[in-house]
Amino acid sequence: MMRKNFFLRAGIGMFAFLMIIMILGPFLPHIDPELHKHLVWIKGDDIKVPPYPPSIKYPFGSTEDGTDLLSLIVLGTRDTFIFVFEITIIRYLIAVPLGLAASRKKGPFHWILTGWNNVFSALPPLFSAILLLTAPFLLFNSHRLMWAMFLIALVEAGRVGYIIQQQSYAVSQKHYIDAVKTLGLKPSKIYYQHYLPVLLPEIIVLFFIDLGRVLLLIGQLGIFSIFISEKWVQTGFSNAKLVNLNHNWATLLASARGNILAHFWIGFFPAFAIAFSIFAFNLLGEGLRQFFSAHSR
Amino acid sequence: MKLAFRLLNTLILYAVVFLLMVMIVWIPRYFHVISDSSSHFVMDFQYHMDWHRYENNLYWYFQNLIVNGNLGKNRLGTPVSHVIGEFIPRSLLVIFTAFLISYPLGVLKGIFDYRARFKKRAAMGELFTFFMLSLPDFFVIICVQWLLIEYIPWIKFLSFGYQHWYSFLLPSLLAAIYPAFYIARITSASIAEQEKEDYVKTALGKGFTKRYVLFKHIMVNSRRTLYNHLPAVMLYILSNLLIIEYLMDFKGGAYRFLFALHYSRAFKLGQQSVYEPEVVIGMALVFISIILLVQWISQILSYFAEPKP
Repeated sequence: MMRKNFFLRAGIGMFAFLMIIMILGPFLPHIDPELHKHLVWIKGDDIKVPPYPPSIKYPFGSTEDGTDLLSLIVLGTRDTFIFVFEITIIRYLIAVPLGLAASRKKGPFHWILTGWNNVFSALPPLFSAILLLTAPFLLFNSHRLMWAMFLIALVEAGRVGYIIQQQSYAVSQKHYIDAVKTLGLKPSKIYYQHYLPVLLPEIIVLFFIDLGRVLLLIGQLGIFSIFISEKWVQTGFSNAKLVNLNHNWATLLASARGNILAHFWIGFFPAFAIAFSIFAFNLLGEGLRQFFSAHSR
Repeated sequence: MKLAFRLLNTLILYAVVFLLMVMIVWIPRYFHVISDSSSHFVMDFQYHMDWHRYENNLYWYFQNLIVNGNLGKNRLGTPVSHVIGEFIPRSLLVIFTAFLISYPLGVLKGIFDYRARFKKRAAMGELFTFFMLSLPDFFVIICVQWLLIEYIPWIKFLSFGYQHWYSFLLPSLLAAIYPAFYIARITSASIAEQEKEDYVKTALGKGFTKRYVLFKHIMVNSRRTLYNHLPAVMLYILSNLLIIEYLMDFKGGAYRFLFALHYSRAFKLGQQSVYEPEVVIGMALVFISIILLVQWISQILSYFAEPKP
């Protein structure tokens, strides 16, 4: 069954599908790019108020304010993926150098990495993320978005760094590294010109799997209404509330909790979109792993 | 004494984690609202870290903890220990049951996956496990909740709520799903690794059946791997628990923790804060202690489960 790298092909297929949705989404038929709200439908004596159940007009149903959920999800693909990629890239920009620098398993970088990984591995990532993202100085910070992405990246950066460290250490034990050392290059040059190319396939695989983990974390935070990009808006003389700045899937999940019984589509379809994407990332990661291990012999 | 050293290290780590958490929780949550213009009341929100107040918070909290030996009170004046006593046992039952369900089922699934690897049944095996491990927990919970309500609401023991003796069953089942598949994956990976070992080939060469070798030798050596992963399983169960209690309104420790955190998305001037830092810390302390306990158990069990051919 695994003979012709089913994982890779399925992963590429699903990922391509998501990319098409992301790029062509607003232009597809049936998608409302303006996201109009229909607060009431009146047909003769028949009056309907949102949320509307799935129908021909609303293939995925509508949200509580009458917006078509399918359009919301399609348009939210781009926002969601941009966040996920940016956070994962930040995570790897921190973790890979740290892991390489710590590869001798001694020295300050090793202690930083070990401490960081141990502290964050002691609690579930969701737990740490909730505590960090609900900290008060984040709430009114004008750079909230940057901070939120950075903190989410940090939560599992220790774990990734640890894996890189283990793998770099394994490389350093190989005999050809002694030859490389005799070249007299600076350690950083050795890491980046000799270790990194060897580690690159595994880093790529880990990257895709981490895309899935980040999306999962964002989704979980969304369920608790803890979002990444928000802004305070004044709603009255002495009231204010947080509003979401974009349409990423996690923000749609915030309405899931009260609606599972009566309006189950409100939570189901965003969750399904997230599940589909995580599955695509995992398939791609696993497929690439099989591809690299088959082609490196 | 290597074991004692390791256990002590773990204790220190978790104490540090607890302290870090306390320091985050007590950061003051007051903010300034500044109005600029005279004719329209336009609010500008600013947060300034009040170090003096922060120091005070920490000082009084630790003094209370060390001198009086209690964890403080909730916003209504009830001692935190009472709040813990009310909510935590429900969660503990769910956690314990989830462990009991997920380990045996996970190991069996892992063995099945391994044996089905090259057969047509592989789709039910490793691919299915892979698929289930990719599913977000909130997606599974939303689906299961809806299916139960829509199609089989008549199963009394799987009903929602927290008051009945059987209320722990549904949350436990839900919390056990991901861990079971996780254990299945590490089991089948561990068996696959063992298969390459010489003693396995020797035993098979001697004429023992695959099944005998599997259960007598391989599983015994895989025990060590399974013990090592106990803490990871515990973390997954806790993570699931947060979402389950929130989505299902199951009033356990995680639920109470979330509501004490009171992440509010709206506010009015002059409104009283519903934030209960003592409760947050109290609940978190219980969960951290549970994780620490599982870490210790895992370290003790792995220490005594020496590999033997």
